[in-house]
Amino acid sequence: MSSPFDTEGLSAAHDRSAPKAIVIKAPGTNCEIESRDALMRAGADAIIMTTHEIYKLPELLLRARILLFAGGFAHGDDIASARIMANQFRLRLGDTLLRFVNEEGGFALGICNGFQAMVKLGLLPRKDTTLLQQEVSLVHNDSGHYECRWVRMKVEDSPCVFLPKGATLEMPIGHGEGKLVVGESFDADHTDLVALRYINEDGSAATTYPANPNGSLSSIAGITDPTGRVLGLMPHPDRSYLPYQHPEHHRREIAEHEMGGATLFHHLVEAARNS
Amino acid sequence: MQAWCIEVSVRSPWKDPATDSIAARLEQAGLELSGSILPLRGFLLPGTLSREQAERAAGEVLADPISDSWTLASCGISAQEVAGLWPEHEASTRLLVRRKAGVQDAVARSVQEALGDLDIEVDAAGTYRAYLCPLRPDQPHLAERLANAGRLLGNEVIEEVIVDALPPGLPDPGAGHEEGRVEIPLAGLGDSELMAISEQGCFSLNVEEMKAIQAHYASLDRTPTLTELETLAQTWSEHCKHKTLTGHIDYKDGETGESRVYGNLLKESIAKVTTDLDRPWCVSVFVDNAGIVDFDGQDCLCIKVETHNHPSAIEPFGGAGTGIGGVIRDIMGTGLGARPLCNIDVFCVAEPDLAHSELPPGTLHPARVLDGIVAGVRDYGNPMGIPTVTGAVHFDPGFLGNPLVYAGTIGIIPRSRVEKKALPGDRILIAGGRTGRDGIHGATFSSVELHEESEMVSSGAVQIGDPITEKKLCDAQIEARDLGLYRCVTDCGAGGFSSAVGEMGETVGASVQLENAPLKYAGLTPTEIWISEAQERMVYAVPPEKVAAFHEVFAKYEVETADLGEFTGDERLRLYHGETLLADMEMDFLHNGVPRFLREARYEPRKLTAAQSTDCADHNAELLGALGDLAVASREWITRQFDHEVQGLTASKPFAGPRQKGPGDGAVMAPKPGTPLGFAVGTGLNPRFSYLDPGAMAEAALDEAMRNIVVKGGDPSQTAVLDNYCWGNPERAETLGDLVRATEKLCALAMVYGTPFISGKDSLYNEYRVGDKSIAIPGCLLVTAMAPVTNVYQVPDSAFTEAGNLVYILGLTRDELGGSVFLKRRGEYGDQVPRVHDAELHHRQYRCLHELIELGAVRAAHDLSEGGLAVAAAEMAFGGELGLLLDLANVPATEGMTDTRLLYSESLGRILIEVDPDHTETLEKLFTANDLPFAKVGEILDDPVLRCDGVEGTNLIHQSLEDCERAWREPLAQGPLALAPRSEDS
Repeated sequence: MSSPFDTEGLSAAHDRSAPKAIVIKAPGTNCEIESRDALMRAGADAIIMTTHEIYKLPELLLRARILLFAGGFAHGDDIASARIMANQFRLRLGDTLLRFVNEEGGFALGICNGFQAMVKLGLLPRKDTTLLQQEVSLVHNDSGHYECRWVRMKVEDSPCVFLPKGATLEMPIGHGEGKLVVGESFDADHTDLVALRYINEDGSAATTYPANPNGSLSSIAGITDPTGRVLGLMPHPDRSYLPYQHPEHHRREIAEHEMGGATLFHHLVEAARNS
Repeated sequence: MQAWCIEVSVRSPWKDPATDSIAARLEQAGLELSGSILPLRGFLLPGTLSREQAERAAGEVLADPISDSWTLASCGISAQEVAGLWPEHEASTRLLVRRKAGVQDAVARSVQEALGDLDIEVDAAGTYRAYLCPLRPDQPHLAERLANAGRLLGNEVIEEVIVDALPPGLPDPGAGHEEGRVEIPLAGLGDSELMAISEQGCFSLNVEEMKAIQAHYASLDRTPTLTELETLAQTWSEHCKHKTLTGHIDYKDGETGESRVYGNLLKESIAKVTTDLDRPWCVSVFVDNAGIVDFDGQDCLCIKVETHNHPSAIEPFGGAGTGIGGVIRDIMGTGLGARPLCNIDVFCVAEPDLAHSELPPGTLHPARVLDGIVAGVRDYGNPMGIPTVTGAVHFDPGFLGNPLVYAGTIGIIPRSRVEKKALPGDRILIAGGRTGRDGIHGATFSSVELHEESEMVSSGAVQIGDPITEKKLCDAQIEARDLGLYRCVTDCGAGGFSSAVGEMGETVGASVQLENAPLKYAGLTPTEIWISEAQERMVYAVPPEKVAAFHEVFAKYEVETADLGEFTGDERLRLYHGETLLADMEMDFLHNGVPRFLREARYEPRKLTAAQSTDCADHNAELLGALGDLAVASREWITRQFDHEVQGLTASKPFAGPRQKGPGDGAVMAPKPGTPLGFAVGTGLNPRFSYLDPGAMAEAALDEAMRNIVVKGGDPSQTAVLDNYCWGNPERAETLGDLVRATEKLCALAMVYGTPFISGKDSLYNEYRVGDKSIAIPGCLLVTAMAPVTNVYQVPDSAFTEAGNLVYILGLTRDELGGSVFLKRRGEYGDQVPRVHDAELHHRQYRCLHELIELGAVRAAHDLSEGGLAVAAAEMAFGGELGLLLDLANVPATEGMTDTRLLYSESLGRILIEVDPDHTETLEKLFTANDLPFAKVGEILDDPVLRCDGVEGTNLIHQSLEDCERAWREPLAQGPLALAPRSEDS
């Protein structure tokens, strides 16, 4: 087998239409490098900024078309996953973030710990788009511990403007607190804001471990907001954008476009470019 | 001080996932429950806050508005009011576990920060866990059972249990007795008085060393200070100095009758292999914190494996966590600082189904030890964002009381950042976590045996890690490195500042102001500051003109920094606290003044008895039994708790097959996304062989590590290896003799394989003493191997890939059931332990297999280790979800081998490979031309069964893959705590 790598995507910085992306790094975020790499490979012009830098000049966020809330353990996930980061963002960046997603038409992606932060600061699902208020939560997996494994997801018919509807995506999870639970305002089974569900091999919604790896309500793996430009998910597209990351690449040739993460980043960046 | 108590629980209909496992532990302690327990997370805040502020803290920070409930109370309320805090659980007994004062609590510090975000400023906070337990009334021995339960829920070393009450208030670490310059007169003291001083100070210095210090100060005509003695004790500890392996050893080899004298064993064996092989790709060996090899001309890889055994025996969670934290810092402290790429872990514990009656006093049950170790590694490695990609778990009764935790890290560093040196005039800057009273005397504690009271007297040596502080430090350091803001770096490990500053200033000298070190709490004495092994700290040599930029970069990552002094150029070590001069020593005496040991070593071959049971009647049952033996059974419960995907660089993972059901061999990493270039890493260890022949154990370790590399596409001619010894008390001649034997056999084999040692470590005194009896571990040598992989896409799977393909065995099977899983299952060791009989042949075979893999001819490859051919074939089949027809008649073997021996011998150098019919000719030509033993032994089937025919053509095994997989997966599927202890009489 020859190497299916292509390195052209990394030259996005020379492409003037490349959408600018900021990968947000809180203390304890640990997926910023692969997140930036995946964005660049998909054609974005991406940089990493620490929260310390962002708090000093929040308006910088408005220069980007894509904000990526990267995975990791922000502030150690002390107290609860992403709780401290979520509070800081709500208190210090709330207005800027609302302006970014509502007025500037910006895109935001939260992966794993970034998704937890989005949910806890109220950026997702944000049924009332003008308000930051927590409506759902992500809590400890039913297994009681951290879990690292590959899962399958189906793209649901949601307002999300960039995910390819009906597609099946494979990605790894790596989390201890990924079980989605909801408050009274959010009807998990009937809302159209569920963008991604865990599925079994036959395509049916996964209700049991390990296909549903955390006991998430209604098999929810990812949700979007009413604008369709904000998406959060527990599985890691940033660990599934290159063929060698696929656990079966030793057994069969896998093309880059078959990779769940490559698919997601490609559609996200194209949507941001055309917006 | 009065304090607020906030308690948080998961709100119905959701349930805290810990509920059931906690209830199981309570029942294990003999308590009878009448309903479901309620786990609580508790927080303590200063009573100076208003009720409104405390409520806001609870509602906005401490409890989740969607999934939690909370309650607020003042600490001083009555018992009746405490019971009423959770009205639905009013009748329940409250068991509360909290960390002892002074034990690190990172969450408490985060609570302070989080409240600051709400403009609620607090200078202290605390946390605890509590469980509301509905107990059946009128239980006998209630007090005793509650005490048992407390011990199962918390660890007395670092935690205390409170029944039916709230904590009295915020934790108070207490004030140390303030100490100025304390002098310890040694002049005129005899041996016993000197030793009394050593023991009292917990210095672990022997009488020769104490006398050398006495003589040195006599020649200076002054009295040493306490700080100076502490500094010497740290620097001269076995842990830091490896006095045994670098000392004189008189060795008598009972096998040959020869005697040899080693002036410095390490230098004349391990290091000599590296020097003699003189590989151009070895960039830096045995000088830095880790070994460094070239990767692609531009970047280098560095690798280090450490152990953290004694701390893990006493507090498995904290010990294992800080073990992995420490080895990551070694990589951060290599050259000018490498970026960590992956972690490796090998654990050795006693069998987790041990009957409670067999537990020696003062030890933790092995199930709990393993559970704690796994959680500790998980909760440090995962937050660091470093994938744990390979490792092993070994079970043996010898590890009762003294488990082993090997932790390794591999990093990547630009070739231009390998050199480092502090210069006179450079500032000594420190960064990372604050200094506390945790981890005092870790270096000296690890240099003696464990005993019954260790868990009480050594609690200060045990620590709880804080991975996020280390993660921030690591991120900040890489930016500072790339900006060229410092000239030298090293980590604070054993011995704390004393070792780190002493090491960096060895050739220049240093002047240190201890008052400048940021402290976790007031009240540390200056000597405590100097030797504290508080985690997550690094020391840097920063040119004065770059100090401002240095502080700025670390601030960007929210890392605290401080200026501790100056590298001077006078080759002395001077310590001040304010105006007081606490120590003024020559660097030369500190580093070179330690007297060298002379130790006797004697190897006597074991008197072994031939195995009684070398045949088996039911091969179907035997196969399932072997797959389900704890030596073989799936480690998935552990592996999946360790993130092996973070960073997206893992190209070959711990599991194989289409549904990742089978076990993998070594791991492959691709550190540069965008290029197919990678490296393979594998480990080898078989403690059981040590009981038969420590030399065989050493050979098996290197051979297994090599096989793991080669099957994953690693280049055997560019393989670097590490040696990590864990041994018993070397003051016994036979124990040290075993070690010399292992070393000699290891080095002889490494010379033939052409594998230089690039780093290593020894951990001695791994024994547990109860009264007069000592339980020593079997001598263990872990070999870790690392080699480049040209194209990660050509690496074969470890499980079968396609029906119709052919299966070959490489290597010769011998009558070597000694130490096998087959005999273990029968309570025997046997006498024929696997050896490397023809090292040249093994080496040739590995090179040929590598060539085949590079040609793309190998679809799957799996090494034969515990359980032999039967287990390896079954693993490849159920992992690949494809059947196999295996024919023993063709297996290359020595004369007169029975079916049982062919299936279960654990002879070294053997590998099973899958080849498609187009490539069989290439394989056969290459292996024939190189005069290698190999044979076609099977064909892959669509039918999901494993069939095996014996030498005479009779069918021995006909087993469904599902049954094989289940037998292998189930024993440890729910973790060690879920295993029922063996009944007392079995």
